[in-house]
Amino acid sequence: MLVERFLGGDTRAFEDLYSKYYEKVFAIARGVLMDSDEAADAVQEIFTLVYRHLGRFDKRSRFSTWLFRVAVNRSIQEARRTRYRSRTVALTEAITKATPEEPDTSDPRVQATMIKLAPADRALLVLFYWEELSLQDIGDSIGCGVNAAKTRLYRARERFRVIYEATP
Amino acid sequence: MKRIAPELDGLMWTLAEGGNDRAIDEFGARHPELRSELIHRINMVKGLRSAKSPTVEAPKPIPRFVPREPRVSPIQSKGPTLLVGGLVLAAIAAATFTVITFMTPEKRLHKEDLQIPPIRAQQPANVPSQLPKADVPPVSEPDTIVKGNQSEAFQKPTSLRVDSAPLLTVLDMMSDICGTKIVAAPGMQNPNISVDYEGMTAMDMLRDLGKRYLFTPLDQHDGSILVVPAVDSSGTSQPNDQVGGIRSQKIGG
Repeated sequence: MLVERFLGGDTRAFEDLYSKYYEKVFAIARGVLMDSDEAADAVQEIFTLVYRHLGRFDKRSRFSTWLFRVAVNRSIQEARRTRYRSRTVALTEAITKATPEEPDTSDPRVQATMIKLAPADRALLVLFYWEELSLQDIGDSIGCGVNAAKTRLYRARERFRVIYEATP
Repeated sequence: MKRIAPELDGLMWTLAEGGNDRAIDEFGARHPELRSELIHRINMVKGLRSAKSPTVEAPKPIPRFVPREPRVSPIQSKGPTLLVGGLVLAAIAAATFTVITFMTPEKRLHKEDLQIPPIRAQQPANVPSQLPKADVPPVSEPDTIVKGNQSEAFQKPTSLRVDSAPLLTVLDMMSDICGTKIVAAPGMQNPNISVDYEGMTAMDMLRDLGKRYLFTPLDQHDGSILVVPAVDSSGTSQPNDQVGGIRSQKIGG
């Protein structure tokens, strides 16, 4: 186990953990923050937290679940801190992303809707639709049970639908 | 959008997320009125899922991880600076105050200085020491009731003899003889009485009559004597000390 190796003093094990989970953590951060640069910055923050506090991981759940929980919480916290800036940049980014060298097949309505959602709702949708986590894993990642995760996801999806349908 | 039953609503989301074409077709056949809504949700879910792919590409190559210093908030980071600045300003203010206070040649006030000296009457130089006396009659003291003088008339022993006369008439006669005013209070009884007093003061006569006919004489200290029924119903009346020795009596037990 990489975690046990790192806790045993092998610092290279953490680099392996970082490489293994970087993309997933980045995807979560990107989904919540709606900005790639901020997401890349947040990922460094998240792994710094994990690096310093990995001793608190109680191993009752999978390491990935614990890591996603840290990632979600930190990303939501960061999104709230830079909400206005995040929205503005994301809108600009959504426009500039549609460039010939990087074809974007995503629905611009979805992007616009995601930007208008609350960070916590975005986190749920990202975990479910992008990372395709189970409700159990989502519950573990946001610190609640399966039923609560289901209810929260339903509400987040309803809010998404309302905004999506109102978006031209 | 019409209100959809919760079961159908949940089923539609499951179908939209599952992507099972056969199940979708069967649902559309059973609920044709919800077909368009189902298609709408399917497109929305597809759009939501596809939003991940191009824009969420992680940077390649993955940036090297370097643990950062714990992030501190702007207030926390400026806290020590603000504290030091505040202390410096406070020190400057205290030093300035001290310098100004001790450099100013101002006599300090002591407790003794704050005591007000006694005011002494001084004779003005342009006023004669002795003012001429005016021909003004001396101002008499305000009228005060002198007990001895007021009661002097009815302290003089006299004699009174009456055979069968109303009590109030006897009191009038006594008033004339003794030279004092005797006032009977309302409610006094007025029986026919006979009296024979010799060498007695008016007050002594009244006291004696009061014992017999149940009333109390009260010296009003204005040259008059008030005669009131001896006992009031409450029993709270106290005989005047000047009258002396007469206690209230309850009428009728």
